[in-house]
Amino acid sequence: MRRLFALILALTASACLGPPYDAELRTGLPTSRREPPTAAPVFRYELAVVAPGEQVRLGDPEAFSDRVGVTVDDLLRGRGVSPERSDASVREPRVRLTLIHGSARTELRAESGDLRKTYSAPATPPRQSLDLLLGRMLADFLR
Amino acid sequence: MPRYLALLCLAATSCTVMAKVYRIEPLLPDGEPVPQQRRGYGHAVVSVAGLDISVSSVREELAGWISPLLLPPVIPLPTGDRWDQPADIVVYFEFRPTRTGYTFSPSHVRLHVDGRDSVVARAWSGGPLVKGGAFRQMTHVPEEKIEINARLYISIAFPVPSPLEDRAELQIGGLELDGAGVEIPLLFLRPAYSVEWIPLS
Repeated sequence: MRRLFALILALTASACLGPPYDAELRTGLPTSRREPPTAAPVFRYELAVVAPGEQVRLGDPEAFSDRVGVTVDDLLRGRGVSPERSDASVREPRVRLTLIHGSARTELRAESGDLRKTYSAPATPPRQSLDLLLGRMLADFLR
Repeated sequence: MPRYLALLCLAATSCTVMAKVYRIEPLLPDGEPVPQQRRGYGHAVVSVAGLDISVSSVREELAGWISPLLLPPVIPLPTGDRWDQPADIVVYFEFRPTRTGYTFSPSHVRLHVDGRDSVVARAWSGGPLVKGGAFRQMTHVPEEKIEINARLYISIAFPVPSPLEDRAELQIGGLELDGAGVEIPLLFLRPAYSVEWIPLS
């Protein structure tokens, strides 16, 4: 029980350590929503994000992956597609994206049907790194 | 007077408490370790639409000692005999939902240690965080399905002898959203030993 309380304390303290990943991703985010070109192809995806606790601000009204998803949507629009974020309860076909953000590297795993690919890039700068990974993923998964 | 003050400062700052610590560190799905935070706890966060899950494990002080006035460690501290008792590997989960519809079955969480079969939870305990930060402790059977409608702490015990000897895979199954399974990437756990300075305050 004592260990559990210490753990809770440690988790609460995590908000004070370093800039959260989603905040770093928003650096340079346009103030107005970027619009994809007319008749842009729709890209439906489900997002899971894994990161060390020190890079995540817990207790926000929005979940961490939803906050990261805002940047992913923006970067996808910038690459000329119309993003539709989905979740596990939706039955429609989609690409499952898993973003793993470590201190040294960021990895993006994409999966749709039988196609599975893993992309990797240096973790910094975070926004450019994610943009690069999404570009490589779209080349394989946007049909 | 300044001389006494300096001596007092020296005495206060040079008396240290150290401990030999065993902990289980979570690793990201690509094998990268999670940095330790305050008091040696590190946790990984897995986030899906509308739900954050924080994953961590144990940290135990095996031995402790005091080093007064810059001397070598001479005074051992009692750390109890917990280390001598047979124990299971315990993994802690914290769920923070921002939407409804998620359920979790602890019996579907698996731990796989190299050279052994996968094991499922022996038992789990925990419950919602109640008002004022207090924690309402409950013990449950693994087969239960929990609705995640509020912040929830759960500790799951696996029938694997502690201390963990090698890297283990943690497969978080049993999470559903509106009845549909939610896939969570595989995490890893690894044992680590270190000597840590323990803050006196």
